[in-house]
Amino acid sequence: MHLEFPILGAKWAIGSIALFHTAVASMAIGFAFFVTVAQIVSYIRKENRYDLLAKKVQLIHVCIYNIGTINAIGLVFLLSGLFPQFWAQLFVQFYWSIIVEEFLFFLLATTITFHYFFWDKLWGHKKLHIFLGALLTPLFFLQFYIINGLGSFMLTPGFGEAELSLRTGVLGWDKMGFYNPSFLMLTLHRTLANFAYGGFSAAGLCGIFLYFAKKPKLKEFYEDGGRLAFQIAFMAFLSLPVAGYFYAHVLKNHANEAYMNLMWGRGDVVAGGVDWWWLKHICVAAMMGICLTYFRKTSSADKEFTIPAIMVYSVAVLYLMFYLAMGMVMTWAFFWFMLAFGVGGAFLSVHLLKYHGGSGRGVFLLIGILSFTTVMLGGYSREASRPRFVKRISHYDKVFVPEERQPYLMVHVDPEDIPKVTPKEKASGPASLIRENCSGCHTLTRVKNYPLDNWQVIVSQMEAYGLKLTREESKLITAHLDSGRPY
Amino acid sequence: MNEKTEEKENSEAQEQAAQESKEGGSPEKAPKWESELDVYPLREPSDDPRWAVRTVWIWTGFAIAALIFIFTLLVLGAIYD
Amino acid sequence: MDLPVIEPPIAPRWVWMEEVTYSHIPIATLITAFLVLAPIFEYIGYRTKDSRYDRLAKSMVVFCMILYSPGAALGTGIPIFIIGMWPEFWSRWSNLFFWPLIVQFIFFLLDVFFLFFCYYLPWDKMQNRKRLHIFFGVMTAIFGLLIQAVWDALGAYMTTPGAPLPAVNDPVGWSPQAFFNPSYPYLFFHRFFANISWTMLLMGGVFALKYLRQKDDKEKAYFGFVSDLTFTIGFVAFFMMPFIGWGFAKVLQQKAPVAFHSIMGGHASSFFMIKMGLISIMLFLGGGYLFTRHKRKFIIGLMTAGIISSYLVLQWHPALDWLPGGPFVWRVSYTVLFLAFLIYLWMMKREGLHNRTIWKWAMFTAGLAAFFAFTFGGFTRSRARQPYNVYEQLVKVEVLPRELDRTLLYKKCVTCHHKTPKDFERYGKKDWPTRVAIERKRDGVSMSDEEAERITRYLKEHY
Repeated sequence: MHLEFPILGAKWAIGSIALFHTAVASMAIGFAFFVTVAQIVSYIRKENRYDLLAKKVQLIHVCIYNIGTINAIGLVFLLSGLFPQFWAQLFVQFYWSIIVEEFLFFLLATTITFHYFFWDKLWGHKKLHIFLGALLTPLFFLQFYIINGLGSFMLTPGFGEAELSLRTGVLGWDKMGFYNPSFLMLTLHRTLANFAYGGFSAAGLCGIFLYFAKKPKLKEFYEDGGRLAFQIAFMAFLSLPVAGYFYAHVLKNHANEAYMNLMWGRGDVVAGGVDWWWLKHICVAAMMGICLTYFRKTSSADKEFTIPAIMVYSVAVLYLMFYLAMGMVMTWAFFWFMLAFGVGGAFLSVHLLKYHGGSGRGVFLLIGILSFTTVMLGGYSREASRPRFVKRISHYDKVFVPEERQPYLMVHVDPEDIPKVTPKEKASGPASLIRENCSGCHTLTRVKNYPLDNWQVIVSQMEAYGLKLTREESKLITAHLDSGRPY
Repeated sequence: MNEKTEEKENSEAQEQAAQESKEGGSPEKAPKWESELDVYPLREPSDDPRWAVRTVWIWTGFAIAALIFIFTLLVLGAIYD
Repeated sequence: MDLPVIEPPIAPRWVWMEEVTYSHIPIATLITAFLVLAPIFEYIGYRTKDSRYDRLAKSMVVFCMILYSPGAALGTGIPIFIIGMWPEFWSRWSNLFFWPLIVQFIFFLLDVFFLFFCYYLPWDKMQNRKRLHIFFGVMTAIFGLLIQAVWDALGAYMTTPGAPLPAVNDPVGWSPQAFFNPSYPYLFFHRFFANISWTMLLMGGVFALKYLRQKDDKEKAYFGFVSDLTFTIGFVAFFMMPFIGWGFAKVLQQKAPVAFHSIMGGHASSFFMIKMGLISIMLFLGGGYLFTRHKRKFIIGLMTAGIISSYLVLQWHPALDWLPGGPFVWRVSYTVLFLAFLIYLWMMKREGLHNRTIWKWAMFTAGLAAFFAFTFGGFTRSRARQPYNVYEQLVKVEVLPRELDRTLLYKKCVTCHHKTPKDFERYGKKDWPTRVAIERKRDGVSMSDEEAERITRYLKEHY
């Protein structure tokens, strides 16, 4: 028997908080990278605008980082209550990884705080300040490197290797479980995706600010900042299908059921009549169309931060190949859908640029929203494809305890030896209540010899000395003593 | 405690904000951010408050050491059980 | 569930646990106290048009912003450490309090939302909409207090459980008896005033040092003003503590007598004594400064009343009997001390000396003493509960046989009237086997042979 979560159910309760956490945490990772790049650009050019934008983004980062942290703790509480055995199992295998994760949490939180709040105090030590901010990226990388170990294990636990390493190693560190088949591809895919997501989100913020900016100088500031963020994100975005292809390949071999669920729209991947993985790809295709068009329209030599066109177009061909391959593997409808949304996105991008007189505000905002949606849908599809998630805890009806390692890894106390607290048999009837409670500290003769006859006061006094009685017991005892009946 | 050293600046920022809001964004005077866009305000290292520089150096050192430590743990963890 | 227990390296598990909790709790309590007081200061500034209050309020909120991220990150470490080291406790405890934990999570999100997006970020922009801004500050404070209210209920349950600890496969999620357990209100209010007191005293002390360093007259005047203000608030807030503490002790005496005896003369008493010593230092230095500083009769009268009522609390409290010679000696001793203290304070009541460097350092020392008294308070409470994770419901996994024997001794021998474990030290004849044999024959005393042997062994080894 387990706790139930009303309305949403256990799965969706966890899912919604986990997705929200992922959306916030991934954005934080992307923001950190963007802030560093913007600060470096600013330093090289000795132009303050990118530094100012970086500071603005970092302030938002400080705020959302805390929301992410609190979400993480909400997730811990939900998992503890709703999936206790699964959660306990993860601790058997990855306790030390999670402790390191916690330590990284602290390092990150403090580094972000120092980086933002010391911004104006370190203009004489700018390189040091930029370096402090740059530390965030490897710290974040290590942090989600660890969480990817756990997350990928849940999808591709391997073929018994995990149990093998658990039997021989340190309790709380499952080497083979951590470095499982999809660990590398998940990490690579998420790293690139987070850079893209963070950059597009920063561009989205610039888009929002552009809608409200009135002064030309401010408009220029957000336009350039948005463009820089966009280009950083676009570069990461372009490389995603390569990582995604190999990721899918690993799933095919090591999590075939999940692979099938994704490719053929089975299980929880389809919910409410919608194939959410398809929807994610539709968003991606539209983003690709938007990005390519914005790039083409704004890649003239006089504009800043251009990427070599040959690189963009050659990688874009990979996207096309990916859709072709998916058409061959699954259904050609997939290919046509993606093509249609890619072209649709391109037209929309052209329209938005024209509508705003060449300003990227509409494109920035749209790409920010689409990247957020894509991250949410991608995360959901991955979790929903896993049969274990769907069948709740059926795989974990008993937490695996590596018996042979118990003697030296566990404390030297056999739980059986710990005396259990057995509730005392309650005396009933006032006479036995008096005998039991009063004679615990003194003889009954002493009760009989009490000179006072105000028993209510005496009993209260005894309670103040530490005698434990319920209100009913106290009344019964007082009434019995008042009546003078024997006990 | 950082808040106390911040106070002077906070108070200045506050007064300035109040001033700006009083002016209601008058077209005659450009807001502060506009002038900030033009200059990259690098300054002499000695102009930075010493306690701030010291705090950041100590923290950076600690964070690098922690990074190396964690990285070593992960590498050793990949080798040994 | 058959859960393996993780054994931490280098130090025992309680050291790790205290390390992680003590990295979080001072930050969390400071933020809670600051966020309660910031909108009050802001409101006073708004009404009196005195910008010093607004500056003080804002600096407190900025400091909270700096501490929030590290504090929250360290807080997430607490459940993680517990899950690995005391898995059974966590599984059962989080089962019992699942819904309060989820509600607390929502409070946390709302707290961050109001603090960051409504209170801190728009501070300057909302100069002309002060009332709304103060309202946001109040909302932040309310959610901060609600978070504390949930944690205090869950923490108090561990010492005075109002309902049984359920098994993992027996879903509960929420129990009003467990949540509103006997010591909950005492713990909450004790911590509420403690938070205000230690943070304001320490802040006053730090501002006093800041006052010394200032060269600019205007700045010097500001720091002089805020150090006096915060220090006085901290000192006055302290006087709520003996009353609540007395009620707290009373509840422990009735509902968790072993924990009570542990503090009052038992194994946790040394920590309690250190705490009392630190409070005495704080009272001596802080009281001295404030009597030197303040001319207003109201404040001086308030502090005198506080000291006299603390004396009354000691009168009501069962005689602690720690001094040789019994209750009479004890009562005479503290009466003399209190009188001497009052005389010392009223002798200090002179003018013009409070700006001397030595007094500023005295304020800082008093602030530090208050902080350490606060930390020792929490430590004493958690030590007193040993060897239980949850009092009389769940024994900790790393329990030592001697801890179980000690608990047995307290239960069987110390619960009669208000004797303390100190009595064992004073007992002249150390012939414990005979003593135990006599005592167990008394009417109503139920003690098995095995229990008598354990008690005798413990007495022989420790008294």
